Amino acid sequence: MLKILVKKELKQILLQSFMRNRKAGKNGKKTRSGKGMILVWAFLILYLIGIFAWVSWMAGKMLFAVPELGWLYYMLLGGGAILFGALGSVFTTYASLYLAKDNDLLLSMPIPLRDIILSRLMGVYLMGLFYSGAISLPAMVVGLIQKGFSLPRLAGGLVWIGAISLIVLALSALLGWVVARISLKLKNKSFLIVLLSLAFLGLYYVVYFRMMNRLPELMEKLMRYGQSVQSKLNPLYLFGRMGEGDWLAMLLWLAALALVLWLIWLLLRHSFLAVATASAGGRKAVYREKAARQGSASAALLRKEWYRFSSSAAYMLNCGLGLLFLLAFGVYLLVKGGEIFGILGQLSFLRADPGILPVLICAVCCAMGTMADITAPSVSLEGKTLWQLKTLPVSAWQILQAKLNLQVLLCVGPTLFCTAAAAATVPATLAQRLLIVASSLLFMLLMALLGLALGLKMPNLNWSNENQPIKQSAAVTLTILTGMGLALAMGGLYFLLRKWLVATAYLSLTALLLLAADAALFLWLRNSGTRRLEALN
Amino acid sequence: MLRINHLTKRYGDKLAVDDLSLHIAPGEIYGFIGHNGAGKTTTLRSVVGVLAFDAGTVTVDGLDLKSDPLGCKARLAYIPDNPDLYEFMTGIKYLNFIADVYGVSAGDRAARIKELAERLELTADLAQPISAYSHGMKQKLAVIAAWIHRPRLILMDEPFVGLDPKAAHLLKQMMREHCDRGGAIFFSTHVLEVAEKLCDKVAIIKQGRLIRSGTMEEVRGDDSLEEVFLELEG
Repeated sequence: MLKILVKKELKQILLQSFMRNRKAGKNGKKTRSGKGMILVWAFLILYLIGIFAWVSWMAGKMLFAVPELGWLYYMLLGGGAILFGALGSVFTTYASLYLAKDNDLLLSMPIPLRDIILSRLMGVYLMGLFYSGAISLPAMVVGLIQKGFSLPRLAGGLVWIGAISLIVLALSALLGWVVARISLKLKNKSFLIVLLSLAFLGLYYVVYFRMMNRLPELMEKLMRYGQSVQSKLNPLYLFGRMGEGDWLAMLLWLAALALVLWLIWLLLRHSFLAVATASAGGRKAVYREKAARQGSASAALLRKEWYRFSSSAAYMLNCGLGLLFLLAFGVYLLVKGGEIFGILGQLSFLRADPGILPVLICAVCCAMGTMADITAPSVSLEGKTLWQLKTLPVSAWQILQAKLNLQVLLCVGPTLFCTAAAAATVPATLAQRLLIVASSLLFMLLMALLGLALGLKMPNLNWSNENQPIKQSAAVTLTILTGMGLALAMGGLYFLLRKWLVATAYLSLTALLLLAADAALFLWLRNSGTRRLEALN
Repeated sequence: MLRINHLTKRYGDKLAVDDLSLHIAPGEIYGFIGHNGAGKTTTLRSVVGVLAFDAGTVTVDGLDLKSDPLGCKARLAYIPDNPDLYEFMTGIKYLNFIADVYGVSAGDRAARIKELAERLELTADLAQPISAYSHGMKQKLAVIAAWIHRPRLILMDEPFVGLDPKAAHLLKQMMREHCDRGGAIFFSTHVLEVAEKLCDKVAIIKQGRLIRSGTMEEVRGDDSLEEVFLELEG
């Protein structure tokens, strides 16, 4: 039975990622493999592996140079892999485990509860493995290349990768359980889940990066005191040693993980039925008649999009994280910007071309916003309720506009704040400051338009839990990757073109190109996009 | 009120609705019966604009669905077989959303929500999220949403499924009242007794083709509707 359920979960994940249908929006019988999608995913995997292989190579060059510090390489990259893996799966565990639409159906069938939970966990595990593996796999290969191949090192590396994926699973499952306990008591839990998840991630982030900041101090101590420091950091040391092929470290870590996972399993198994079958918790809201104001159809559609967004923690966390990044980066620039730009200004190559900083800060502001992709899953999220929009006296364009407007309205404030902070602190001319703000705003508009266009090109209306369109869809992945690629190109191309273009001209050209791309996508949505929406069913 | 001429709808090679023509006049409750997969839902979904059809014309209150879809949709309401509503809204937010889209004034909507919710005994649950509703409660909410803008034509797909006997009785009353005010109703059902008692006219569809239609007397003659249906299906 477990095999069948796991197969179903895998099929669902694969269908979301690689299959398209002839009749848009209907995964299932009429699907066909999308070669384009396979290429996109291959590109995505290579892109991620390439970036992290480079990071691993640099870290290896530094840490493998000292024979005693090999374990630190595996410890630090392993920590990064856990952070990345947790980012990829921790936000979605609650919905994947407890909110799947076929929970009732499966529970009514003669299937052991254990098999249902395990099959759901398999989906969570695979997401964690995909994200953590993007760092741990190249890190292991780089380790083998730089330290030299040996069988224990290969075995250690593989066990290390497996252990990382299990740690991610444990963290995700634990947070899923905590969220589930809270959700049993609360009615409006979306914002609380968002806060809880961010706090969890923030805590991990703070611990990990504090450790990174203390790296030089740690290395100095290691060199001075040798083994004594290693014993103080025993679990972390052993974690690193596992990657190096230390059999004892592998054994101890796997035993500890087995124990932790078993305890988490007991927790999940104990609570699963109560959570998965619970209706909304808390007291029943009492209806009090209130005078409603009449609004326009467009305003009603926009409100509906807002309700959709704000009712789902997974949607807010996965597609609205960019808003927080923008705000946080804006605050950071206001607090530390002057100091940082002052230090950077002393670097000779920046003194030679002061235009580099305005261009780079503009690219970084854009990169911060790429995690805001609210429009990308919004068409798919209509799911089985699409009939509603199609029978209302509203045009397809009004529907698309509402989706677009929500992202634009939510992004415009944080983008303005972040870019205004950047423009106020970066050493630049007035024109450059204005161009930083204008280009970033045009970039944010492009992200909204692109997300919506990709959402229409690759819709999935048949999902069993909302994480599938929000997290596992090609539209969302492609939107984020394209945004990151564009932000990277925005910063990188200046170094190639600065012989011919000064920074102001480069930023002006960037703004013009973004404006052209915005206009092109807008026209596509207005014409082909509306036709695509009308054809969906 | 609703004129369907030579409606044809294909799913790939499969002909789901084959050259179907029907006319529903103001004041009529028109029943639509047929076995599972006969083409009832496809016909209804084509008429309300959810599905694009391959050939034929549909006019609602004199307006052509293809050339003036929004005008047609403003005049009709549709309740699908499975009321998949916006579960992230509360009942009252959903009704206000529908009222805004159809341009129902604040005063009218307040009066209609009060009247309809009290009638269907849903008032106490309007502040609840729709995700907490049972199937029957969702069906009741869909009925209120369909009635809230006083449409000329209401199309329903198996509207009595999930309703308790009292609510089903109320819905039948509401259907009759709507038609007495000059509106029209076109609905599909498998419950032949309901169709027999409630409908002014009935159409029987088999494998996408209309095999009989007319007033109840014309269709059934001296037999019961069940006997006629079974004979035609056989």
